[in-house]
Amino acid sequence: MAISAVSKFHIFAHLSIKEPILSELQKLGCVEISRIEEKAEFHNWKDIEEDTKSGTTVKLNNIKFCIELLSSYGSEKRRRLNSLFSSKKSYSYNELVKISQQFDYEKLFTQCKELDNELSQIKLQENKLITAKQEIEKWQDLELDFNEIDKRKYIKYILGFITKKYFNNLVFDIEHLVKTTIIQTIKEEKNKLNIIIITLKENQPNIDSILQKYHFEIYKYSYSFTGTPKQILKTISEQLILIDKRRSEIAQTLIKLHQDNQLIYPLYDYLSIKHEKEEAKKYLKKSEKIIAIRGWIQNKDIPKLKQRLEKNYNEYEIDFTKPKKDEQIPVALNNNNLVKPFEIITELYSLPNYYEIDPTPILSIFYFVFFGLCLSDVGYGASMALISHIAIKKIKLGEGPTKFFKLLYYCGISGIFGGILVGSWFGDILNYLPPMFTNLRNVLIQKLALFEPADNPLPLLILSLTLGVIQVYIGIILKFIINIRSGKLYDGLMDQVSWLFLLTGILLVLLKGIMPSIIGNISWIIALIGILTIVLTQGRTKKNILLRIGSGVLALYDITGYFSDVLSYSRLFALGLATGIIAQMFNMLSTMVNIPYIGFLLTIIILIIGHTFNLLISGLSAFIHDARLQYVEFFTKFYQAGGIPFKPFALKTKYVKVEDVNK
Amino acid sequence: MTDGIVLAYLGAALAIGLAGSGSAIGVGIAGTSGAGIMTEDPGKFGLVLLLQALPGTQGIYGLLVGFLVLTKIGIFAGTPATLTINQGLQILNACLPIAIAGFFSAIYQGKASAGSIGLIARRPEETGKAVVMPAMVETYAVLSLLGSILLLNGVVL
Repeated sequence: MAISAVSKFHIFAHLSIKEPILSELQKLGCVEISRIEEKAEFHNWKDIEEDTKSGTTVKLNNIKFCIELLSSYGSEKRRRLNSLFSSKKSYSYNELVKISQQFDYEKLFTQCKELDNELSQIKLQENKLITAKQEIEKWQDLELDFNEIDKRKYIKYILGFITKKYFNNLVFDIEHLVKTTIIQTIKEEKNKLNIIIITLKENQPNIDSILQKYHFEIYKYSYSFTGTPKQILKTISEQLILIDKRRSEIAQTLIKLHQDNQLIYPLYDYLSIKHEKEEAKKYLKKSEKIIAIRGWIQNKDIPKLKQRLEKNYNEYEIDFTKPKKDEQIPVALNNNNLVKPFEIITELYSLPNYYEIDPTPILSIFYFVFFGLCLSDVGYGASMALISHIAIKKIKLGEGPTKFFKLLYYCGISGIFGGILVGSWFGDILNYLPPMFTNLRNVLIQKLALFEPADNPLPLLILSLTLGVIQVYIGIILKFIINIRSGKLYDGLMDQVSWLFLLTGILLVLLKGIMPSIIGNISWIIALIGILTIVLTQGRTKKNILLRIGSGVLALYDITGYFSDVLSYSRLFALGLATGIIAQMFNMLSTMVNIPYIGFLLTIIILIIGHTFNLLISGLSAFIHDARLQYVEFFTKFYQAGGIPFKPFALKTKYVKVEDVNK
Repeated sequence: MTDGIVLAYLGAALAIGLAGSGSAIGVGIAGTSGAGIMTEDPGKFGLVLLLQALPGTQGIYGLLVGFLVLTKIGIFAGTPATLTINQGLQILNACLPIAIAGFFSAIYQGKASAGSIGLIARRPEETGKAVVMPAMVETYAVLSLLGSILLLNGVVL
């Protein structure tokens, strides 16, 4: 339906125009280049190797490194946020080439590298200092130079930690067994004591054995700082301040560098364009004088390609062939502007394969309707539509985001319709309007709204299930059409039409009450035809006749599948109701603040926060559950998927826009 | 205050409390694995947050049912209805689907979300699928919400 017809093309050109022709194709951006693999046809052809070592990849990585460093340090948060909402700068292709020739990135790269190294060294040093600080803080109250400890002739200092419960025993033992010894507690921690023992050198063997008995942990000072712990701590803090200072200096330098080197962004994009071109060259083949390019092109773009080549070159030959069945044919969807945004939903699942029907046009109708029922609030729908509209009009977004916002725009519109249908305007906010608007409210809620899901849920629930029945039917019918198209009419009759009979029969039986009696009578017959065909045909792959009937009967069990598929659509009703009730909840909450003067302000704040929250949560639910209905209930009926996306060889950029390439 | 209204309160409390607890557990599970992913790639914060938020809806459904119950028995209007034990039990029963299924589905949805977070860590291009998988679990929360609403609607005061 709306899968673009593609052709395979071969271009044979003189070697001298290899570069310009590739650039031309890249600027045109409508062909996908594929690898030439056949050995037979291209017997003596060789790969192009000459400039795969041009160093573009290395350059690209270096620049990426610069950009990451500069943008993480160099720009404040505010500016980064701005860049999200601001348009990309535009350059012409020639400007890009010029920038790449003039901009001396090597210098910037060396600078960035040095600064980055310094930053990591500083970080390392800082960590060391902090560890030292934590260690020495434990001995803060010791009025002794660590380096003096081992230099005394007669006196021995022992520093260390002991568990609290052993401390008294230790003191007792030492006082009784060793003479002339002082024990002092320096610091008390959770269950440990930092103590110093001052004694005579001759006592050491005695003391050591006592210490061992009480699991005393000797502290060994291992830093090169000199002075008492207090002095050392002072030195450390001074050094830490220096480090901080240096770091902010570096940050300043980086900000400056970032401002001065804005051209690095277009340069990056130019190089990635070049890189893409070099990658494409790997797919080509060359003989002594000729290069061969193979690729895919959408048929609608063929005239454009021909014209461009004819205008600029002579020494080439181009031919187009129809794709063969066994080839991997890339798939591009080609829908009109209304349907196009919904391609996102199809692509999220998987593209159709080349010979399949593109489900997007049908999906788009259902997705639109379902979203409206799930969101079902005029206020939320309008907010969504408005925000997306502004995003599309005011911000020059890329192709992808624009498509997404268009989808949101349509979804918002659908939400407005859904809201009108159930009479939900930011929940029940109309009820809070002053009395003079009573008429307006009556028109909006009582005249326009067709359903009152909170008071009488059944009608809307039935509508949801009916939509489900319709979509399931369409799914089955689509599969039938696919079967016919691929020449399997009988399979279609046995696998799909039989089920259509059975399901229709059951539906009619269920609806007996509201149908003319004549239909009530034939509904059983219709159902019976369905059952018989299913029982007789579903086991047709089995050889044994009994097995055949057996699996036919078993196939009837699938009826539960269809049943649960349809019930699954009840979520449309439930989610729609949920949106309205949560909104009501916030409206009610907001009126509960009865504080003089600031009460009004609080009401407004609660309303804004509450409704924003509800819009986000309900919008997300609607988006996901709507998609799920398409994927699980609809696609499973007929959709094969598995198409490989058409990836055009084009000017792909990240930071800047390239304009005027096709003039 | 009549005995019936106590039962209705119990129903509302169960709906809000159990479904909310389930969501808290689910969001917690998803959050733990999300935090792990972000140590490697903080840029995925938006996506991870979205996946983490998915098991949060059960709590909202529970609150919603609780709110419906309170509206139904006229708490907000200021004049609570007089409920018989029988009516109170009916309301309590109506709250059970979302209380029970909300609690369990939120936990399992949390696990599915955690799995999906792992998926986008390795294959960011599969985000769409990653978001849809946990939503499969939520189906049952939506259905139980529907059940609760319908049951509640059937209670005649």
